[in-house]
Amino acid sequence: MEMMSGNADAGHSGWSILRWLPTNRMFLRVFGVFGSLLLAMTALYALLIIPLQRDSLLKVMYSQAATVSRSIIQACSDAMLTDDFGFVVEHNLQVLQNNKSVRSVVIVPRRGTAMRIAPEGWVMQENERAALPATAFEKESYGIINDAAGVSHYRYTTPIRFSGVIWGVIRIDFDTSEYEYNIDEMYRQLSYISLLVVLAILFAGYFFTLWLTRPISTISQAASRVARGDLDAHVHVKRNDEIGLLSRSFNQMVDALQQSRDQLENYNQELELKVAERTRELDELNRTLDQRVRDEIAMRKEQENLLIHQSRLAAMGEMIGAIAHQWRQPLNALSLVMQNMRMQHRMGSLTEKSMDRMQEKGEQLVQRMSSTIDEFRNFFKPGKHPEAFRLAQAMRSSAEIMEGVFKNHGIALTMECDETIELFGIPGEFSQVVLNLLSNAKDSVLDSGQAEPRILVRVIRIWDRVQISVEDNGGGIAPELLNKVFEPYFTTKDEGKGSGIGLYMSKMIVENNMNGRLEASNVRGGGARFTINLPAVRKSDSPRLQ
Amino acid sequence: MSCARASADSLWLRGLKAGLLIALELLLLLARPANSAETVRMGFLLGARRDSPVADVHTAFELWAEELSARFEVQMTVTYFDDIESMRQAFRRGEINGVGADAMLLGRNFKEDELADGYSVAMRGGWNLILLTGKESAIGVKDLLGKRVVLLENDQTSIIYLELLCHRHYARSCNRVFAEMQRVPSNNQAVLRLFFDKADVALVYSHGNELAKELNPQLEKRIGRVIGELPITSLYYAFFSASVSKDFRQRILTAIPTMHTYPRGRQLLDILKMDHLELAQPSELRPFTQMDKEYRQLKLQSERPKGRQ
Repeated sequence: MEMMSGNADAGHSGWSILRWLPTNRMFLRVFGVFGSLLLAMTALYALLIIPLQRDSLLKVMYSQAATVSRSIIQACSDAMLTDDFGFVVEHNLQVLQNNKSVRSVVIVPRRGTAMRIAPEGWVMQENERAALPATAFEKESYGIINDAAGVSHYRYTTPIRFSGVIWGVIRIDFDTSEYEYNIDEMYRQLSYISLLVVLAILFAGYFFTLWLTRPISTISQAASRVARGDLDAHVHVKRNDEIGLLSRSFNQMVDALQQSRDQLENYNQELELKVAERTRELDELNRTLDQRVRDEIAMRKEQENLLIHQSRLAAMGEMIGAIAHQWRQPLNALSLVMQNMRMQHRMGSLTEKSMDRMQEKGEQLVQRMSSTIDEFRNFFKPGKHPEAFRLAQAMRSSAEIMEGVFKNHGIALTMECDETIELFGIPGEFSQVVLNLLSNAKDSVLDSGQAEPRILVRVIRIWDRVQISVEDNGGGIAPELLNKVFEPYFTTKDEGKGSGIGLYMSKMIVENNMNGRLEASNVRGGGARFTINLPAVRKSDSPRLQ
Repeated sequence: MSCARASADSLWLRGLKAGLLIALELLLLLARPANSAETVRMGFLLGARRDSPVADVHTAFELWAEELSARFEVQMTVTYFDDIESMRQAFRRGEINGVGADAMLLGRNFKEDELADGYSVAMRGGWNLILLTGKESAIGVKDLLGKRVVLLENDQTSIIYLELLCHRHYARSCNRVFAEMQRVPSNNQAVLRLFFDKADVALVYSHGNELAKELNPQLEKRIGRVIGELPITSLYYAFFSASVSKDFRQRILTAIPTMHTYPRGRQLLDILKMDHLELAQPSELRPFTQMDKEYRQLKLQSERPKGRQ
């Protein structure tokens, strides 16, 4: 019915010792359970049937005894009335002759001597009356008894009652050989049934268990082979039940495994080829890596320089704007001085003294403008080496550059800074960072059309860290753009207003050159906050600083 | 025959074959029973067996007929008659060639020379007809007047014997001798009635008395005194017709004495309640015919007016 392809020796290893006596555990367990259940059922059946059968046989004997006694009483009623005991004896002798199961009949008349009638003869017996049960004249009694010789009888005793009068007692002893034969026959049949059941267990149970467990064992063995890597193991169980389904599923699984393994091998081969190719490429890459790194560094450096350059150009633009704002007032004042001088000249009131005062005034204005240029030049003078510097001074210089622009646009700038805080880095770069943040805040408050634009710069020292925050009330940054504002060339400003590299350069300077962090966030009430977190310089670290 | 065309060897061989065939046929004729054409056609009077049910008697005789037919390779038929007259007429017409009935009826209705040898029913204890009374009883055969007697019903022999006694000793019919005449179907019941004081005397056959005492030895102590006895060999007989050949009769009757010795025969005898069968001659009917004759004479004498004596 079922067989396993592949290695036949391995496939039948569980059955190889004695094919007819499989030794696998499942077979023994199923066989044991099956056999035990059948034996238990047979034993239960026997336990139930024996009392029932015995009871049934006793009922049959009772029925027979009652019938015989009624027949005798009916036949002998007239004789009993007339004390014709000869008829009684004769009749009972005939009864005994015709009914071989009756062993004896004892008639105990109400008066007179009892008669015991048996097939071998009859006799008058005085002691039979005394041997009767106490209730013999009142009710019937029956049951199997053993006499003195050890012979068992079914004894039925009943009053002889007719015409409402009890005329005596009749006691009939029946042969129990038929009963015993039936009991023996029952035991014999039960023995045969038990024997048949045992044989059935051995026969049917063997084949049933074999039928049940063999395919499972075959599948199990095949599974073991599969587990050992033999994917040629297939089982062929031609059955339309779950085991057949299991077999087919198993074969499908093995086929799938085989297919997967083939695919895997193909993948491995492809991967090995790719690895070899990649290895070749890597070797090639390794050979040119130094050059490529140098090229990349140079390219990055060039890009960085370009960015710095662009940043400087942007800063220059900012600076020019700031200078323009700074110069706007002295130029106006100078223009007024010049107009005043011309007006006094026309009016003829120009005096030497007034001329000198206006000249002095003009020179002061020119000097102021010149100093402004110096300030800007100094601000943008590139520092070459990092050093400790005062934070407040660096921030003030940045604020002063933007002061004219802020005043021109009515932007309120508030700075809260501890004069003693020192940082370590290149002051010019840091000032450029602060300038970028202030310029960015200025653009933000101006773009938002804020009626009362303001910018708050706050410096907090927390242990050995310094946190500088630049807040504005320009509406803040859209949440989806918070992580993009530091990307190079990213800007939300109108075309021509922003280069998109200010914040990027600021983050590069803070994080790469000053070992700090620059982060952007929004503040409650609608505004942006840029926070610089930098390590502070301890007193012992800055001996040169005065 | 085409002997003329046959060769000399062939003629000799054919003659030898023909001679052997004729010799074989002669042997078969000699081996065949001479009276093979005869059949046994027994007639039985049903009333003759009072102790056995009619169905049992039928079955027993039919089985017996089959048994004998198979054993002697003869055809055997059994005819049952309800009365002796019908049986006698059938016998006279030759429809039956054997008759079976009780001895008194056979003696009355068949002449001795009409009958040939046959068999009788033998019982352990014998067939003597005995008149019993209690051991302690002082009743004698002359003290029967006013007593209660019990006897077998429908038994002509018992009736004739009892009437004979009454006529011998009292010159009158039993009806006028006994105060009560009880008729019972069996010897045992008659003995029991005597035992239980339901009768003063009982007329029974000796085998019945013996059987009753076997059934209860207590009877031996209380009853058993014989005050009258008719010695007879058997009560039941069956005879072949005298017209049946002696060889045929003897061939059939050889099985009779040994019948009780083999199981099937024993089975048949048990059905008919017989101990065994014995060969019998028609002359054994004479005591019955003589008793009947004496009874009739005494009866006539007793009925004759006293003045004529």
